[in-house]
Amino acid sequence: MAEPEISVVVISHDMARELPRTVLSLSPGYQVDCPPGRCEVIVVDNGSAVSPQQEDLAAPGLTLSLHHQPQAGPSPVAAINLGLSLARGALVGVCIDGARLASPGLLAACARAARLHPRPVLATVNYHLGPAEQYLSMLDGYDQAEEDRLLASIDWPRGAARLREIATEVWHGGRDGPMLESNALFMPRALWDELGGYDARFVGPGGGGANIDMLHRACAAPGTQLIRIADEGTFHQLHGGALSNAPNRGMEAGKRLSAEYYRITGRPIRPIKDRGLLFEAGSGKLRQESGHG
Amino acid sequence: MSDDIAASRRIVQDWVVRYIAAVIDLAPEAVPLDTEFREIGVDSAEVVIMTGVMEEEFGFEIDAELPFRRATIAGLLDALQEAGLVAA
Repeated sequence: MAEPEISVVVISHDMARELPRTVLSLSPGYQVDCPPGRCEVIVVDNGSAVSPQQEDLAAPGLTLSLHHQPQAGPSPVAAINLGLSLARGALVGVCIDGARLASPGLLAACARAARLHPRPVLATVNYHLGPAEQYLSMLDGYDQAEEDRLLASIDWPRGAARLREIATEVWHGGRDGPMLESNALFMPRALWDELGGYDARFVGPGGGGANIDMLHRACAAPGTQLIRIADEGTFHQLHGGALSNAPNRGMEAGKRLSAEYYRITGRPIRPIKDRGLLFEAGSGKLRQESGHG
Repeated sequence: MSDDIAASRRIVQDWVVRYIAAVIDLAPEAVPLDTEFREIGVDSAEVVIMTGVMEEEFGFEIDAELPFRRATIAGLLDALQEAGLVAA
């Protein structure tokens, strides 16, 4: 079988409602400029009570492989690294949380941006479906039924280009501020290999600060360039995740994540000060970010 | 930091001041003790992050919501002292 240009590693855990939608959002019929064979999706299930089945995730033209992480723990890091070891594409993306729908231009934009630098670190936008960050909107009654109604209101998946109309951008320090993490992070496979994948010492629920650490290490590696992909990203579906859907335990979970991060790295969690370059899919060009940093 | 000996208030306060000074890019001596965290530019996420780091640094456990109920440096130190986690 010919090697795909792009591999996307998607991690799942008890996402029977969300995972099929996520996988569909990465399929050729949904992604623009992504004919069959250009991208493979590697789903690694990290210990779901009811394991997903290949037939539940099938989509026309999709190159999909489904794997199960042995001895799955609360952290997805080992599952991510298993997925990375299986990736065949020259460009590899990791979605640490498989409950996130991709924007329809995600793969094409990342592929185009990757050609503009020899060692790109491609960070995409994090969104939450709904009127606010979900740990807040849940307190006002936002639930899966409302989320389904919102998706129906834009005729998703046909109306996927309108996802941003029913979602909230989630930033650490504002849209123009420094980045903390990206939930769909793309890099050349050689760079993932060089960095050794995700740090297996992050054993906390949801991987704790592993995603933050990954972006920091990638940006600190010699010769790399952070490239933020404007307006393309992933949209979090409500599923009871470790942090995004933890309204009453979010502070405690955040505190534990912070403590683990400090214990492992010896540094407090900080966003990436260098805001890098911005790739705009419309023009296909990179531009230097301006403003505070 | 030993689990058996509570850190002195002065040591913990100096640490918090230096930590916040680094976050908001201010000289430590300019960090006010009696102004709420959010008013000096430390948002809720930063407060949560600081709380986790404090636990690791000093070896005690803090209720994650405490810095929101006692939302100044002085107030937080008072609460830690009342709980016996720092010594006068």
